[in-house]
Amino acid sequence: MPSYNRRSFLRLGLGVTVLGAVGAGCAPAKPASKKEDSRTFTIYWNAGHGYQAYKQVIDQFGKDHDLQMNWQKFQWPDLTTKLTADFRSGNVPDLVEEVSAGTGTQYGLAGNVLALDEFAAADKEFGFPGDFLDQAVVARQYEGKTYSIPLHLTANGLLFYNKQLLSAAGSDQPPSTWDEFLEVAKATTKDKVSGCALNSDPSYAAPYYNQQKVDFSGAGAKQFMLPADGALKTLQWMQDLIYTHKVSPAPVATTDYSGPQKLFSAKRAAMFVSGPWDIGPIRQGSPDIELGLAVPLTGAVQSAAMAGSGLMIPAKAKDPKLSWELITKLAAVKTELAATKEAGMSMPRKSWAADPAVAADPNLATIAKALAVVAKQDVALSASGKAAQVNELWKKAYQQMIIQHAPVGPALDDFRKQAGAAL
Amino acid sequence: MRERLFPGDRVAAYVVLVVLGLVTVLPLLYMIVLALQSDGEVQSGDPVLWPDHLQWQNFSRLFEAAPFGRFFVNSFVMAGAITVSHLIFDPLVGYVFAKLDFPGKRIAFVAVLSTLMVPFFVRMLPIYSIFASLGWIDSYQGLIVPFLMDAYGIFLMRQFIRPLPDELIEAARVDGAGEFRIYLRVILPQCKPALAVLGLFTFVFQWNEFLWPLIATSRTEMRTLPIGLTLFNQEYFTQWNLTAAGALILFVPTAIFFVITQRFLVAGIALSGLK
Amino acid sequence: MIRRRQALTAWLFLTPAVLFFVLLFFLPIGNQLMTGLYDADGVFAGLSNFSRAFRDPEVLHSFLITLAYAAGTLVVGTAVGLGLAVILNQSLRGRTLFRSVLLIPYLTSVSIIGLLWRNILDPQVGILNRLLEAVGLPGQTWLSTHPLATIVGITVWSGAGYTMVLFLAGLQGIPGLYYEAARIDGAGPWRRFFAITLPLLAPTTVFVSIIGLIGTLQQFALPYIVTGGGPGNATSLYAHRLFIVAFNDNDFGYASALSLLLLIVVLILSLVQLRIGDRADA
Repeated sequence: MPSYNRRSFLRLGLGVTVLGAVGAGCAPAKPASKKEDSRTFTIYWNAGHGYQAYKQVIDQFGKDHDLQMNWQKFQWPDLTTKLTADFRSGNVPDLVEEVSAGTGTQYGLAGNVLALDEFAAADKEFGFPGDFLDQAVVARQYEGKTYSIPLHLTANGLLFYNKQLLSAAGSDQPPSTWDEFLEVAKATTKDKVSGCALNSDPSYAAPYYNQQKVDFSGAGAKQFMLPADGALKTLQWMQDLIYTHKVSPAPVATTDYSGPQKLFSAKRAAMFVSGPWDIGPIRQGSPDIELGLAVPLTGAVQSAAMAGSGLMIPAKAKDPKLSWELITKLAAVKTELAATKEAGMSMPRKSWAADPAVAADPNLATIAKALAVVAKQDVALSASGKAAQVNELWKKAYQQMIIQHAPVGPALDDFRKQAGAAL
Repeated sequence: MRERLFPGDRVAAYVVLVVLGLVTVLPLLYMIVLALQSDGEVQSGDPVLWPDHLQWQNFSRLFEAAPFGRFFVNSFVMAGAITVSHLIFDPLVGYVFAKLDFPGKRIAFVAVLSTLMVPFFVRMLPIYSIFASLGWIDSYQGLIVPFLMDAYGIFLMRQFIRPLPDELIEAARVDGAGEFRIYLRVILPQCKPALAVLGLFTFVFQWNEFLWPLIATSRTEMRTLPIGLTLFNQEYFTQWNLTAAGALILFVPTAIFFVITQRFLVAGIALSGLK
Repeated sequence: MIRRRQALTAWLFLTPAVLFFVLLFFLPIGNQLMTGLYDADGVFAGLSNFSRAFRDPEVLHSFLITLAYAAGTLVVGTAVGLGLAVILNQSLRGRTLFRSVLLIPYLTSVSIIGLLWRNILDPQVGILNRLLEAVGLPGQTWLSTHPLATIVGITVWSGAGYTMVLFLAGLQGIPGLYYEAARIDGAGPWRRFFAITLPLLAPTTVFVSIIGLIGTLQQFALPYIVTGGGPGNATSLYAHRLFIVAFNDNDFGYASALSLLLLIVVLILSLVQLRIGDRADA
């Protein structure tokens, strides 16, 4: 028996050697491959945005410049984690999709991404900032410098409604004010159907407080969720939808934002407030629902919250000029229209909105109306570098109010205090 | 002769086992149901107990959407090489701590154990910086080297080797066997069950590792399976059917490894040293 | 002479391990901990990151719920694992099958487990509530009403089989002679369990609880995947908070200070457990 054992370990040793050889043989990053490295162009992208329209542009770019295009797709949190590690080690990609306006500013002020104004000024044909919707540009600027170029522009605040459920409850028109919204929600709530569905993710509260003219932050003055009475009114109203009027189920705290969309698709919610990204899943999952899409509600004002990614160039990118050139191709109106046609995504260019194909599409027209009323973002918060931290605090406060039914006034006060301390 | 705890205790035992067995296995079976749903069923908001049409093509869709074959190979090389390395070094170090006397033993052992107590991401960034300057990003050595051995495996092997009789070693020494020969010929053959368990746990753990392969690779051809699976989450919703299908593929090698080593594990002999 | 030869052998055998642990554990960890002396902007801050931790309500909260989570997981997990081991240590038909089935979740990736339970437990669109609804039971909203307990439950679900296997090994190491003697003395099965099984299992219990404690105090994946730390901060366990501080807030100095504090706490708790274990041994 011992000899059998020895043999088996000899075999083990052989296995190791083979594996080691395989490992060494397959390893692409040898010092000798440095030259090949410089011909590789690396892009970080969101996994949900891997449209064919972009793939074509990127493939063509690789051919034109004899580059090996390395298009890496991630979930947003993973992209952030990876990018954080990259910035700290200096091993960076050549072009990065920015999760939302302001992220680039934060990285830029820390010296991790480039200001793009000189590129834009030298490239009149590209039309930045003139051809881009103002809000999307301003939110990416700080003290005269622009740290990212808008890629997508969408709005959270569209009202999704189920036409059948609404007309069964006697409403042929979607609500346009908060009072009407509550009324319709009450009328459509029966049995297993809720009139509406709130989201567990705090960013979905933005259209509501924007409609009460509440600013999330005035970071310059270390102020948050002001004016206070408007903030109180908004969150109290949202909380009441769940716990007083019982027209919305309490959302559940998970890392998945699609709860309201799923309820709507299952015909268990008659309305919800969200952005264009939910159109596709509803059409696909429940083709029998007559989906209505309405402009944002009017509280004190009509308003929506801006969303949509951008493009930024790491400060240590190998050839920033090349990266800029790819930006101009990805954010060209031709590419925008192709991506819209393919995926229904809405875009930041004015010439995109003016295109007949866009103007003729009723959904896109509704989205365009929402884009026209998006609220201004506080650039000082991004510039402070603490935006992510403050958002994390806001998530806690929002979930305490909406999911755990914590009293609104003290929760808002706590949030203001903690966010102020973080700055 | 079996004695009773109470009347019907055997029935009660079966009831407990069946209930807990179902609780264990039903969620995993549900994953199979998820993997076979159509995109529409996944988005419909209504949970589906049994899909209208079993979408077996979800599995082939995975391989069309991304080079999953390559991901599979990468995962296998990474987890396999790390497992082999553990099987070589963990018992050796465990043996030293279990059977040899030397100055500094206590401190060395506590030092090794203390490495169990720091989350991986604490040492991740410094290692990433070093590897980046070595050009080890996007390489197998970059994926493998941070995990060549670990305190858990060493602890496990030490606990297993400790109760083995010292006389075996003494006898071999008297026969004039060298120290390494004693380890190889006398100790290791006794350790087969423990090595099987160590191999299984190491493989499973590394096969499922997410954070390091995410950070240490930035080319599609160097991605591992768990990273590949995240490609199917859209920005605002999860493509559940594809994610679940990928999860099942992820589970296959683990299951095979488990079946091979299962008799050591469930028979308990491998871990009997832990007493 | 023999002693010297043995010491030489020992260190020779240990050389690869010493190199590995120094280069890939102690140096990087030390390097990272050094950043604990700097603030978020990279300015030298002395020990202020450490004193800040003691005044930070979020950190204190996460520490307390982590202790609750660890205690819950250890107590419930150990009880379930031991119970299963005792049952499956008897000659029951199909026991190998049961042992294998119960171990499967331990072999499954934690991210898959997290995603799966997130899907199942969703009160509105998850399968569990639809099944409860179908048989006329009220729906659960456990992730909202008992978030921490739910995370404990998922942890126990995935780890019970592993604990069971460890205890099975421990049970098989107890000589049958002891039970025979006790039986002759007229001790019933319950008495034998408390007088023989439990005390003789003490070393296994120590191992289970130390490994379990180390694992639970570092639990990060489940809150990260299932709840995102919510609702509010109800499931933001310590390691999750640490990750947020590092990768969300970008405050690596503070994160390093927090990880050193965690290291100290785990070390102390493990040593205490070892002490208790040794005493039970003697």
